[in-house]
Amino acid sequence: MTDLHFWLFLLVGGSAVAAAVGMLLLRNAVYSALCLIYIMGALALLFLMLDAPFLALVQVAVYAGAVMVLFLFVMMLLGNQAISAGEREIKGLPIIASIAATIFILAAGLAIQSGDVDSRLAPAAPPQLRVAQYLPVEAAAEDVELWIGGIETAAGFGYGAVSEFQSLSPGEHAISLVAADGERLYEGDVNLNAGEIVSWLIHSGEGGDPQALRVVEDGSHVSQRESRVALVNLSDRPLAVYDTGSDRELDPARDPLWAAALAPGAASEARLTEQGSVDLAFVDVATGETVLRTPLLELLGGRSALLVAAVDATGRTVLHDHPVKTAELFGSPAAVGHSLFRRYLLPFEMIGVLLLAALVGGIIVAQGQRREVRRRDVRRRVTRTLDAAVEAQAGETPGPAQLPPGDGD
Amino acid sequence: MGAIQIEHYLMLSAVLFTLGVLGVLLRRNAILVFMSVELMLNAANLALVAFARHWGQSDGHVFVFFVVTVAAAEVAVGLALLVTIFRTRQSINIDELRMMEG
Repeated sequence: MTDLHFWLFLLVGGSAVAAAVGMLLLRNAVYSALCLIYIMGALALLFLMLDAPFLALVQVAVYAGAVMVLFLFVMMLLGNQAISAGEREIKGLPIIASIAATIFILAAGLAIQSGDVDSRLAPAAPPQLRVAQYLPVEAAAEDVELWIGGIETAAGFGYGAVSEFQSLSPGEHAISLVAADGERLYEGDVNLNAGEIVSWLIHSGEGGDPQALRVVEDGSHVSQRESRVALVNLSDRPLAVYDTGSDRELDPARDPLWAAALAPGAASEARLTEQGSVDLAFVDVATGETVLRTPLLELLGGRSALLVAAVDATGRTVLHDHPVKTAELFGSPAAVGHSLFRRYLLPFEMIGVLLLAALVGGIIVAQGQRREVRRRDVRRRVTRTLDAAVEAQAGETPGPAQLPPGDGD
Repeated sequence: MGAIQIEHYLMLSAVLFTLGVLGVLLRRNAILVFMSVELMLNAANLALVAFARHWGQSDGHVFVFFVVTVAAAEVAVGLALLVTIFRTRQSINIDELRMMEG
């Protein structure tokens, strides 16, 4: 794969350089333009290899399409002189320029090779944290406050509540749940690393002691046809999870197994599945009893879901679905549009104004010339004498008697 | 030698840019000078996309988008000027266009 990539780069890049040399040396400007179109196409291919499909298409449409057509159009408009004019006049310039170019390429190569571009890491995004509450005790039913790092983040944080994702600094953060009467239901510290997306699931542990499960979510891109699912077991017994399929009948021998024995307080690996509705069966491994069925559970495409099976205050096992927003595909139109209309909205508007100014400028530059010509034309027509006009029309010089009265000038 | 790295793309970008500079310096035809400027812009775009891929951030893509737009505006106005100059001077050899008066 990498080998193919390398040879493709060598082929495309080498031919692009050859075309650039051809553009420099060919006498005929039309051939030079064709060389430049080839370079644009080669660069579009390189953009594809660099995970920028949107820019590759823009390159072909705008550069190879619009801009180069404009060049060829102007060449045809100006005719022979524009196509062949290209004589060098300053003696010795080609040699000096070639030497300077070689020195520049060598210096650039040295700088690229010796620079530490590769060893530096991209600045990581700040870690994201959300907290979910699954304490099946009376006090935790409602009127609970969630505090993260000494700041009250959410109120009314009852059973099954989930906070929004919070952008926090990397490091330790204290998390506590405070009941209405000031009782601390839970206290703990979460350690966050840069770039992580963490779900902090507070549940009652084996002895009824509040515990927290740290689940690191996967926020990377998922295609629109697929859904990424991670299962979490917060009940008090190990569970096996089956996908019962379209017949909705649980058949442990035939139905695909999503998790063989998910221990209490454990999360499964994230798995990719087709988007659409699924019917999951959660089976107690020890007794074989089905504790939870999820008829028509909708898994949306392009999303990551965290499915939490937890015991509520009445002792039933309930499934909670906590979706995670996934990143757009790098270099896709959606990703480029996202940064274009969010972070770079003002430059985008300014570019629009610039294009408008260029449009008006182009029209004025072309129009000013034409209007001058037309005005001169009109004056010539007016200053023609009547005699000359009649002569041009009738083919003979008119005598004065033939003219109608009162139509002298 | 197998793996392809950002250095390869930067090197290709530098070479294309230099060829564009040579085009501006050596050719006397104004249209070809314009095309060489386009080549330089494209070489810069390649470096931007390579860096965007390297850092995993799509900001570079946005910059390339802006560069393409500016280049399109520049070509539209530049070629209109060129046509006007050709009509008045009957030449687009940039050595003959030293005088600023029409």
